[in-house]
Parts: sequence; C-alpha cells; structure tokens
Amino acid sequence: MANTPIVELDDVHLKLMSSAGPVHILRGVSLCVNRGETVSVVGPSGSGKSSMMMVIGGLEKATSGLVRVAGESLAGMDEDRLAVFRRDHVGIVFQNFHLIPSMTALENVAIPLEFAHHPDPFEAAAQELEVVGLGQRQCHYPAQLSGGEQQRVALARALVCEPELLLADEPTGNLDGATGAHVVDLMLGLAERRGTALILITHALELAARCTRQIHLVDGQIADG
Amino acid sequence: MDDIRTALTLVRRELRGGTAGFRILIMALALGVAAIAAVQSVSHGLLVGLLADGRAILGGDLAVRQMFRDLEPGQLGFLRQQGPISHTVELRAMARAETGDAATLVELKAVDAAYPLYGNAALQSALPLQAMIARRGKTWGAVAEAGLLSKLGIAVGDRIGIGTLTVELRDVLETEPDRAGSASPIGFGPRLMISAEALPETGLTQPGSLTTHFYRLRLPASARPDAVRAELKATWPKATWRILDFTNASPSTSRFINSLTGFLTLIGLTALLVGGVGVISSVRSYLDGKTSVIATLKCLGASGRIIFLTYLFQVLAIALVGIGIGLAFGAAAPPFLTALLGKYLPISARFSIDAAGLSLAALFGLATALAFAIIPIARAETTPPAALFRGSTDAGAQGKPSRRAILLTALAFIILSLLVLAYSPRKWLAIAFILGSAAILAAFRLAAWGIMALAHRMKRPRSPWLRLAVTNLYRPGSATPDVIMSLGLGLTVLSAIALVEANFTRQIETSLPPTTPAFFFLDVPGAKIDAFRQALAAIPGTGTFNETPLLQGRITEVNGIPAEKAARQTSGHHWLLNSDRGITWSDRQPGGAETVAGAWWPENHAGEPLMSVATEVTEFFGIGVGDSLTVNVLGRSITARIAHVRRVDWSSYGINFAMVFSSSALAGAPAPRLATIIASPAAEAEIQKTIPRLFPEVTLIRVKEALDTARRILSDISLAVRMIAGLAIAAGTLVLAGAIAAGHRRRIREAVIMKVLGATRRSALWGFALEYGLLGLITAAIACGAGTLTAWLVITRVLDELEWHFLPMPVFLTALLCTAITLALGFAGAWAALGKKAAPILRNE
Repeated sequence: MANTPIVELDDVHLKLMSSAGPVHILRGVSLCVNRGETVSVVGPSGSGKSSMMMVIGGLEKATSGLVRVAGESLAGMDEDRLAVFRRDHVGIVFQNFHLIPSMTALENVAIPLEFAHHPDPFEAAAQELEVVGLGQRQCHYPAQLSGGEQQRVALARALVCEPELLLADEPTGNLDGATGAHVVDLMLGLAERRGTALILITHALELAARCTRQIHLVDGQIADG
Repeated sequence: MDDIRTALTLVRRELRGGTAGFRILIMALALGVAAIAAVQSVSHGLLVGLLADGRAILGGDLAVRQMFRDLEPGQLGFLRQQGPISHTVELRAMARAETGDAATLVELKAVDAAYPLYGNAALQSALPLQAMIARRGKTWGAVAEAGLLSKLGIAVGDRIGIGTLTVELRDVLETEPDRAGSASPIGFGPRLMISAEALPETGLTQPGSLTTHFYRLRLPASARPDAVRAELKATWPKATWRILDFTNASPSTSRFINSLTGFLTLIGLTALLVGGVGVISSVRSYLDGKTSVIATLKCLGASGRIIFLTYLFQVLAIALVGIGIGLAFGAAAPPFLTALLGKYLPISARFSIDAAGLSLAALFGLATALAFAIIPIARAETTPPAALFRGSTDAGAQGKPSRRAILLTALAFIILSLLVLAYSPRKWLAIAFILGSAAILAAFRLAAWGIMALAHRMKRPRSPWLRLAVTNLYRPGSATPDVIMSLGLGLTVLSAIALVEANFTRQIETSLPPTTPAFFFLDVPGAKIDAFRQALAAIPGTGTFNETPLLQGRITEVNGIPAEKAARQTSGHHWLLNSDRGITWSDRQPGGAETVAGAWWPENHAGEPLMSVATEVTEFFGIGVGDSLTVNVLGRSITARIAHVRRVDWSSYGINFAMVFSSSALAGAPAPRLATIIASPAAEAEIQKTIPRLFPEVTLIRVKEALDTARRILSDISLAVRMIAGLAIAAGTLVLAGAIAAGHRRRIREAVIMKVLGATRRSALWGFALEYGLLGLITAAIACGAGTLTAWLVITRVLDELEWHFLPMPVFLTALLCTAITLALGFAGAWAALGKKAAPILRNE
C-alpha cells in the first residue's frame, strides 16, 4: 500500500497567458508521490511550486502531460467533476487560510463534510477542531481568531474528510516562527497518524527537511529529488 | 483656502483614473434627473404653447362665459363697444342619422358669423367654415369631427337630426382652434358645429337647458384685457359669468398640466431618492477601496479637512457628469411623452430648452448627491493613519462622521425639502411626500437593521448554502441595506400606484350597484315628462324610473356674507364656489343619503323657503341647520334656510344634489327634468334607438359609456405615471446592480473556496440564488407592505370618497417583479463569479 502512488506526474507542462505573452511555468515535470509519503517542494519564487500544487489539486489544468491523482487522471474532468474529486481525495491548506469570514470555525470545518453529505457533519467537524486544539473556539469567526488559530481551522477543514492527499502551500508563510512550527508539528503528526500523503510547499529549508523527501524546483523543472 | 487648493489638486489627480467606480452613481443620478427634467420640459412646452396660442385657444383677447342664458342687452352693448365680438353656444345633444337607428351624444357648438375671431377652423375640404354651415335653400349645414361619422355610420352629404332640426353634414372638422378653451375640452362625444342662427330651430335651448354661452372679444391693440375685465366686474358685481383672457385661455388645461407636472415630478423625485441610495453605496464602495490611500495621505500630513474636501469635490464633479447626462436626456424626451398625453391636451406644445425646469432638475440632483454623499465621505475622513501599520485597511477602521458632516447632510436634506415645497403646486402633497419619503426611507433602514439582527440571531440553517445566504445578509459590508432601500423605495411607489389604480378601476368596474341607472336623460321638457315615462315603460327590460326638476345655481351668499368670504379656504370643496351646481326641489327626501342634522320639511310645506344640503356644503362654509344660503338661479337670487343636512353616497350614481330646495322656494321655475332609468342591456340598446327619435330634444348619457371614457383617460394617465415610476424601478435596479457588483469580489472568492472544498457549480449557483432570493423576497414583503399602506392612505385619506379594497394581484406582481430582478441580477453576478478560474484568484490572494 505504502508503495502505491497517490500522485503521478509525467512530463507535465503548464503554459499560462499573461498580458506580456505566454509564460511557460512548468517545463516537463515528472514526479511520483506514494501514499503516506511526505514530500516538501522548495525552490525560489516563481519556480512553479504553487502551480505544480494547483495542477495536482485540479485547480489548474496542465497544458500537456499526464496527471494522475488517487488513481484518476485529471485530464478529462470538467470543473464539477474536479470539485467532487477534491472533496473525496484531496485536502488543501493555503498560506492565506481562505476561511469564509461569515462562518464560524465549526461551520468552516463542516462545509466539505456537508458537500459530501456526511450524516453528522457538525459532530465530525467538532471532533476535528478538538484534534487541532480548537475545541473551545468552535463558535468564533475567523476575524476573532489569531493567524495560527485560523491556519489550524484551515488544517482541520482540509483533513476532516480524511483525504488521501494533503496539499499545503506555504502554510506557515503568514505565521511567526513559533506558531508556524506548532502548525507544522500538527500537520505532520496528523498526516503520519492517518497515513495521508503530504506535499508541502515551503521556503523554509528546516521545515522542508522534516519531510521524508525533498524536491527542488528550479525554473519549472525538478532539479533533484 | 489652501486646503481647498490642495484638495482640488488631489481631485485632479484622482480623476485621472476616470469615472470607474462611479458608473452606478452617474447612471442613478442621470435617471432621476432625466425623469424630473423630462416632466419639466414637457410641461414647459405645453404651457408655452398654451400661452403662445392663447388668443386662438380662447378665441379672442377676452371671453365672457355664462351658463344657461344670453347676456343682458346692457352687458352685450358694453362688450360691443370694446371691439368685434363673436357669440357661440355649447351644449350636449343627441345626433341621429336620418336613415337607420344610430344616435349618439355630441358636443354641439353653435357659432355666429364672426367665428372664429382668431385662429382657423380647418375643414377636410379646406373650404371656409361659414360657407359650410350656412343655410342652403331650407337646409342648414353642419360640420363634425370624424368620430361622429364613424359612430353614426354616415358620410359627408348625409343628413342628421339634432333636436327638432335636420342638418346636412357638409364637411369634416379637423381643427377647432378654441377647443381647449371650450366648455368641454375633452368631451364625451365628437364635436358637431352648426350656425348660431340654426340653433333655435333645434328646440334644445329651453330655459334651464344646460347651455354655455361664450362671448369672445377682439380688442384693439391699445386696449388691455385686464382693464376691460375690471370694468365688467365693477359694473356688474353680482354677475355669475366667468371672464377669461388670452394669458390664461384654458385654466382647466393649465390646472391639469400643473397638477400632473407636480405629481409626476414627485414620482421623478422618488427615482432621484433611489439614486441617492446609489450615491451612498457608490461613494462608500469607492472610498472603502481608498482606505490605504487615505491612510497614506494622512501619514504624509493631510488633515481630515483636506481628505473630506478632496472626496467631496470629486463626488460633486462626478455627480455633475450624471446630472448633465440626465438633463440632456430629459430635455430630449418631450416628444415621446407628448405623443402619449397629447390627445388629452387639445393644444400644441412648443418645445424649447426650459432653462428654469432644467435648473430645477439640476438643483434636485445636486442636493440629492450632497445629501447622500456627505456621510460616507465623512466616515472615510476618519480613517486612522495607523490602519496602514496594522494591516487593517478595511472600512472597519473608520470612525463616526463628524458633527459638521451630520449638520451639512441635514442642511442638504432641508434644501431638498424646501425645493420640493417651493416647487410643488399643492403644498399638502409636497409635505406628505417629504414626510412619507422620510418615513419610508427610515422604515427601510430600520427594516434592514432588523433583518440583519434577526439573521444574526437566528438558528443556523443546516444547509451550508442556506447558511451562507443567511450569514451574507448580515456580514459587515453586506448588500442588505442597499438592496432593501434602493429596490424597496421604487417598488413601494410602484405597488402603491398599482393598488391605487386597481382600486379606481375596481370602483368604476365592479362597484356599480344593481340600482345603478343605465341612462341619465338631460333636458326632458317638464310638459312631456309623462309621455317620456310612458315611452320608456313601453320598452321591455326597463326598470325603475326617477325624475326630478333640474336647475343650475351658484351660491352667492352665506348668511348674507359673500360666499367667497364665507368659505373655509382649508377645505377642499372649491367646486362649490367655482361654477354653477345642479339644484332641484322636492317634497320628499331622496334615497342614497342619510340625515346628519335637522329634519326634512312636511310634504305640503308652503312657508319660508327651506333647503337640504350635503355635508360638503356645511363643511366648506362651516355652517349648519338654521343658517341661510343665497343661490343665484337663472339670474334670480333665492335665499333659503338650511333645514336638513345629508351625507350623500355619490358612488350610488343615483340622482342626488348638494342642494335640494323645498317646493315653496322654486316650484314654478321653468325647469327641465333630469331623469334616470334602470335597464337591461337589451333595453339599453332599444332606448338608445327609440328615445332620440321620439324625444329629439332629450340628451342621453349612457352610464357605461361615460365610465368607459373615464376609465380610458385614467388608464392613459396612469401609464404616464407608471412610466415615470418605472424610472424609479430602473434606478433601483441600477443601485441593486451596483450593490451586487460591489460584492462581486467577495462572491468570486467565496465561490473559489467552495469549489476548492468540493462544491459543484450547480450547488454554488443554488447558494447564491438563495441569498438573492431571500433578499428579494424580504424587500418585496416590505415594499408591498409600505406600498399598501401608502395606497391605503391615498384612497382613504386623500381621496376619501373611495372605498378601500386590498387587491392581492398588483401586490403579488410587484413582489414577483422584485424577486425576479434581484434573482436575475444575483444569478448574473454568481454566474460570472463561478466562471472564474480558481488558480488566478488563489494566486493573487
């Protein structure tokens, strides 16, 4: 099981149009991440780290190449199919948290469960908040939480459906060192306990070193890993 | 001064970015200003036309109008000394085709050889009028409006009967220059014109017949109409005539234009007030995006005053663009509105740029922009420079507006109210509008707060989309207040108008009791009344027949004091003074009225003249039982004591009079009879066929036709009202679109997050539809409530003769329209948001 791939990228290219003309962001990325594996992606700004994560999460369509996640090719999926695919297989944590400001912490965490027609989304969401240490903050709105707390809510939301793959895009980028370390501890611990594969994008090399594998992305290509 | 200079410099730089962000403000103001400018321009064109064509409309420099009888020889002699004179007589009569059964009511006008003194009566053949109506051999000629030919199914050359005279129809009358100044500018039937010399042969001018005599004068260039008028008044102070001059040739038309203008302007002002809500939301939304700029400027040393002036000037500059566009559209609109209303205004409009009207519209626009823009600007002024360092550059960092700003806003609203008051021809309507608008705006604001508080406190729905919809109702920066105020205000007006109109229509269409007569018969000769009754009784399907003597009289004195002085000016029954009223005498109390005070006189009362009056008379003069009224009847003054006061149900369409005398007061006067009859539809047709032949001097007014005419006029006027109210809705929709556009960024972000978390587009669309559906429904509920309340007030308080009925259909349609507009715009916004790709949004966050 541990050696079965959860993410398979083969010669993936991504070209985006900008006002200055097409930008070739990913240039033939090939990558395999196994189930339960934790992989960090490092590289300079503009090297294509976030774009690669978006391609894996179905948020961006590869221009060419093969993208298989959880055994499914994302190439032929329309937007709605991709949404359902994410709901069932992928959790995502953003640098900017992306919580819905008009919803409480509990409601934010419950949303993906509700989309998945979970029989008791609030009970499960409350348990997940307990897991990330925010059992007492369920009724708070994002604006009433600190950055670290917001990111923990985002983590709970990403993991509450027990995805096979967790994508984290610079999850500590907006947090101070100690808070960031706490969030990372939590994330790695949970991923390991649940056997969730993790792709972690970060600039922090010591954080990257805590993953089982490190990938260096330079100018849209994997330099080593 | 330095601050102003600095502010102007900053404004110039800010305006480099163009008017982006202010499009809604510009369009909303333009719509409101266009509505007012259009109404003003049309009114101006019509009034200018009325004045310019004054002599032709009046038919002279001066006209004396008298009911029922010729002027006395002395009066006529005086007029003849002033210059050339023309005498015409107008009355309603029945015209019958010589062959066949067709007969119809006509507005008959008998003109002398001098007619017209001014203008030209244009005939289809372009031949002169006098030649066509002259006697040829033994036959008099006549000309008529085309409507008569089609109604009677006749052609030029056919003969028609009028009273006891048969005339030859020789031409079609295309233009009657003095129609607007005539006794019936709109008319219940087509015009038929004959020679004054032929009139006596019709047998229609018996004493007491409902005739209107016009004596029109052409004065020498050196003579002044007002001097002649003054001399007439001084020489014959008790005369009951009405004197008109060319500067006010058709007071009823001017009054109609002025009243409609005032009313439509107030509705246009509603569109502007809705635009005001757009001003608030546009300015707020624009300044919310400027928080970091304002904080930066403050860090660099700008005072709050500079910030305030900068954005105030900027908003004013942008507002002027909107006002300018509105003025341009308003000034160009008159031909369209005239096409709609022109048929009721028998005058030609003369369009030119109405500087005063356009200035008024511009002033309204400017005052509205100021009244609504100052508070959001003053709030932005309080943005703390520290906002930059805390990273909280949202609007939440702002404080309360200064006292100066609140005072300035109050001042702008006072100016707006004073403008409404100064302009409106009816002060009570202006005051009602100001208070009503303030109450409705406040009610909507309170309702918005209430809804937000309720949504905040209510138990969270289980469905995530419904939950999102509910939370979006109250979150900071929610569109709730803007949507409710903007769309709600317009829809309140629309639902109120729809309900008032529906109540009117219902009154006309369905409230006719079974006892409503089918016909009113005017000028039935007293001597023939028994034969008339028998003729009607012989027609199968006829029912109750009623008749009463009918005279016309004008109240001249109240307890010996001239009636004008005795009147209570605050009461609205000026018709009691302005013209002759129908009067009758009777020994028995008529039906359809209840006794309020006093007692009816005994059947054979032969003592002092007594009278029974309607409550309108006692209220207008502040009198009661025991007081006396002097009434001029056919030139004779009759004084009677009030013995009885009645409250009359005028909507019963029965025979009823404001003044009924005892027989002792009037019996013996040469009075024609007014009669009514109840009849089945089949009998109605037979009456229309038979009676004009048997009694050619009798005029038939079919109640159904009269009501149809009233309904048609009402429906076309209400179309004009609805068109202007439609502009209020358009302004509301614009503001709503603006409010939705302001939330577009947030909506895109939410849609993207939802998609990331696994939501499909269909479910996301459902969520947004829920949000706007909820908002639309809530707004509809409040607007319909407020509209119903307004309509109820209008029907029961302003038009207190009408009975109020709540009619669900107009309200339902308004609610449907409201929900549809919000849903459509919400859907459009959501559709655009859902079409956005997630990655670029997530990248830029």
